[in-house]
Amino acid sequence: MRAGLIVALLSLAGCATVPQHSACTALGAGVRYCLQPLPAGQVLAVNQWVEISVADRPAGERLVFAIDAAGARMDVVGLSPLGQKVFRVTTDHGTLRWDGPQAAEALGRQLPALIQLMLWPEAAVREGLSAGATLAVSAHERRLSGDDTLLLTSRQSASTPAEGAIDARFTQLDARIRITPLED
Amino acid sequence: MTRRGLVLLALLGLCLSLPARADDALLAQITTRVASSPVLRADFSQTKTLAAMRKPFRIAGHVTYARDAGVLWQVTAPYAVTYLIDARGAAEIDASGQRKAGGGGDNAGAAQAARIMQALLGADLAPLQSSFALAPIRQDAGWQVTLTPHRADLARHLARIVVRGDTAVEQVDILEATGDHTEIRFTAITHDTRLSEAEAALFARPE
Repeated sequence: MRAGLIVALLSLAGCATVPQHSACTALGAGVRYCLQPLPAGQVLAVNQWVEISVADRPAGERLVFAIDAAGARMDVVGLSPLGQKVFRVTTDHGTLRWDGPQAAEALGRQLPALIQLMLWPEAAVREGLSAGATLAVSAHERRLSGDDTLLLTSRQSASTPAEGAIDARFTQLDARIRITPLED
Repeated sequence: MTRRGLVLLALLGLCLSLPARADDALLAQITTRVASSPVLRADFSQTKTLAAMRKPFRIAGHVTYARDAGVLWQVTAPYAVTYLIDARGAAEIDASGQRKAGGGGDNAGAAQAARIMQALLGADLAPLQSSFALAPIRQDAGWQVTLTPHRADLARHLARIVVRGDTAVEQVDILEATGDHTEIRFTAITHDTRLSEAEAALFARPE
């Protein structure tokens, strides 16, 4: 009975599923970020309530992100509030596969990088940043800049980012993301 | 062909048509049994298990099915959202009961999904036979119908849907070709003859 089913079917009709080598993402101001594996032995499996607003859509969108990562593999599934699958993006050893609406593909392909910048351990994030990037990290905030331009501000409620709420602003995309972890 | 051959052929045809007729009869019984109440209310719990993902995604809440108006999904955990799904599609309802702009979108896909959802909830399965092969069976005190898509465009994404129930639909399992599985269980089911005033107001959303 779920609308989920056919909504997903129909929305997937125009999807791109071609894998591409896109391990690195340009963040602006000459800064690039290359996807990093989680440290050995670490696993991330979380569901998050995500509110995204951008300049031309201030009312924003609300989605659930189901994130599962281990080693160099990372899956992010976007679900509607009723649980319909909207997209799935999978990265694995430098290959990125987008399965979702073509209209959202450009942003969707940047999503793994943006998520890692907010959630991955600081050392892994530093490893993935190109020369010229400046990452300032305090107990509850990350600020990424390049060439004196602020690119990302991410404030987190918990010392381990994935365990708490996050309020992030991506300057280059003029986007704001508020994340709340979902408990069972 | 000999007379004996003709008789055997007729008997064979009769035997082959019997299961289909039995299926049609059982489907009709199921529809009659479930459709006897124009309004159903239930609590629901939905678990979505995504292929290659360790953590399932769960939501729960309340659903109101009105045979002639649509379905109201009120998610209460782990967050609160309300969606009205009817023949026009899906629309989010805000806290004041008004349709939220841009919520859900009234596109053709949502409208089709709404029609299928209403058909499943009302066990009005016959209209789905153009897209699915229906295999009903009696099960304990109730029934089960497996819907297998026979249209290639559906089969690319959907393996099958299994609907179980008695006097109402009690469980729906959606198995996608990707390996994703959605299970929806309905409990505390009550039958009624009409919507409450508050429910009717929510269903009567403006264009």
